[in-house]
Amino acid sequence: MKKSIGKTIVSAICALPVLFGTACADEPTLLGYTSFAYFNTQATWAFLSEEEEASQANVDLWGSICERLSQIEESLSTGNEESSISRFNAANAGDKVEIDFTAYTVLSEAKRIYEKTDGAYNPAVGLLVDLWGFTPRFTDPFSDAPDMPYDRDNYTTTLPAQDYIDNFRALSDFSSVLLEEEGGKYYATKPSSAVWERTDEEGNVVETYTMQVNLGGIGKGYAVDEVHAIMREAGQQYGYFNLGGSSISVLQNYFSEENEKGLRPQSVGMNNPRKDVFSAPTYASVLVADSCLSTSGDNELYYPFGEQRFCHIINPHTGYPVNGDPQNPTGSGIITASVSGLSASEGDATTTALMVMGKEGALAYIEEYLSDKGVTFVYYDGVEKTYTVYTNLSENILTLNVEGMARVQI
Amino acid sequence: MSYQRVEQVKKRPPFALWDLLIYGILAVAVVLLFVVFVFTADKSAIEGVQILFQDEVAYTYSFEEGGTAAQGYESRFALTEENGKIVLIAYADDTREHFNRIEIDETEKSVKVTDSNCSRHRDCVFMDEIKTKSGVIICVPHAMKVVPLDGKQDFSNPTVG
Repeated sequence: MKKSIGKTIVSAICALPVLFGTACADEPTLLGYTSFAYFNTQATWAFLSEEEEASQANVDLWGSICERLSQIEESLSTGNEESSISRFNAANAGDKVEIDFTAYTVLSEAKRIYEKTDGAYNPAVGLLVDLWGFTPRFTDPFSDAPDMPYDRDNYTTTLPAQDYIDNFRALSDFSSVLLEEEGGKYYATKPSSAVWERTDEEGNVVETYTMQVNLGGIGKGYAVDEVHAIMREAGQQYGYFNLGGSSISVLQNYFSEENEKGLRPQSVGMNNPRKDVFSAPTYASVLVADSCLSTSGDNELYYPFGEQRFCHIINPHTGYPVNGDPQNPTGSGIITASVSGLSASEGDATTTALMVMGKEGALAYIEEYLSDKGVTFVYYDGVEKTYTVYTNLSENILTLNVEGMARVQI
Repeated sequence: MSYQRVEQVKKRPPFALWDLLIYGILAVAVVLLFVVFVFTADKSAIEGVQILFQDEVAYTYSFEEGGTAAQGYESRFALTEENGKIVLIAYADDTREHFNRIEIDETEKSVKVTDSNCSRHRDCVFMDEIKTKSGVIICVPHAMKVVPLDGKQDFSNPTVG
């Protein structure tokens, strides 16, 4: 009896260090910086450090990352009146607008992906994004942007007038935007046909609209590519840069084991798109090494409308939020899609396009263009109320974290 | 228990040697815990707060950089300004029926829950404001926590989507 009491006391004394902290290991530490100052979202840079505090070199590198993010946002933001994109949006139809190199590069890439996806990714749906209530004037409580004639008192019960949907859709022909480089300067020309004058019953023009570009579906991806280049240039081998969960550039994870390619992959959780249905915070985890992973989903910005969910991704073919058009009252469709192996900007735009394409279109596109990339999407069947994960990644690479989602290997 | 056994127990000293040792260790543990949690509490000023629903970070507010909802939580928060203070309404679910009103004073660098429809008692409304890094406000019915924004984040499990 006395022996067992003695053992208990010894065990209790030994457990004290566990309760109150353990000695530091010699292993390097994963440190990071977070900022909320760019793109209205959270930017996270993680890096490996031999010390418990960041070195001056890391502080300087974080400064360079922030500076580049700021430059990109200044160029692409629609919330900044002086940005290249805002000036393009403010221009009249037919105007040629000088833009900066960043805007030119991103618009050129957007145009390439617009054509590759047959218009499923279309950044010229800016008016529709505003019509459905997903621009910064709705999401930024301090926005001083004026009300628009098409604003509605209650977005969860009232649809926009159909003439706005039809005419805004007609203004979204991104193929007719002309991008040029002349003598080291860059220009974008707004098509002369991209104007709609709304008239009253007596034929008087009461409202005038021209094409509006919104690079929300590619801009963050471009920023991630730029930070990826900064990390590479600095010789960073381990860590990642995550911009708002939209795109993440992953280097390697020092603490994991090498894969068959000699790389140490990082596990990245993919957020559960239906937290009201599945309790797990992530629906899947995917191993990524030395690559970018981009995601789009209807769980980022949305509001309910009857049985449907209106999200910020607009289907340029219907003018309605993706999976939210009247022909699809059950809301069936792809609710989240992810791609790894592309640049973050192409991945960002491509995942948006996959959601617009729908299940059959996405499967055909994956077969044609993405068979050597890592693609995963969740399809919701609104009739059967089932969720199915389609992926071309092996079970070693992609692990499902929720029960109740079927898995289909592409 | 027999009468004889009762008498035997009565004759024993009130505390055996090992009992005293165990009581002593427990007393030391209590004092240690008191010292650890009271005297070593981080009294440094907060730089912002994070709002967690079911232990998942749903919103981050930095005094320097403003607020951002985490992916998937954008529709669960509404930010306004009243009398020079930031007012953040945090909805416990998508129906927006259940809420906590969180007041953020950027001048005083303090955060407090000022209203809620979580329960009749509204315990979260009466919890101390958060001014130091050891502060926390918890609303159990809404599974919501307000915690100081801390530099010591865990970067090992990034998520997307």
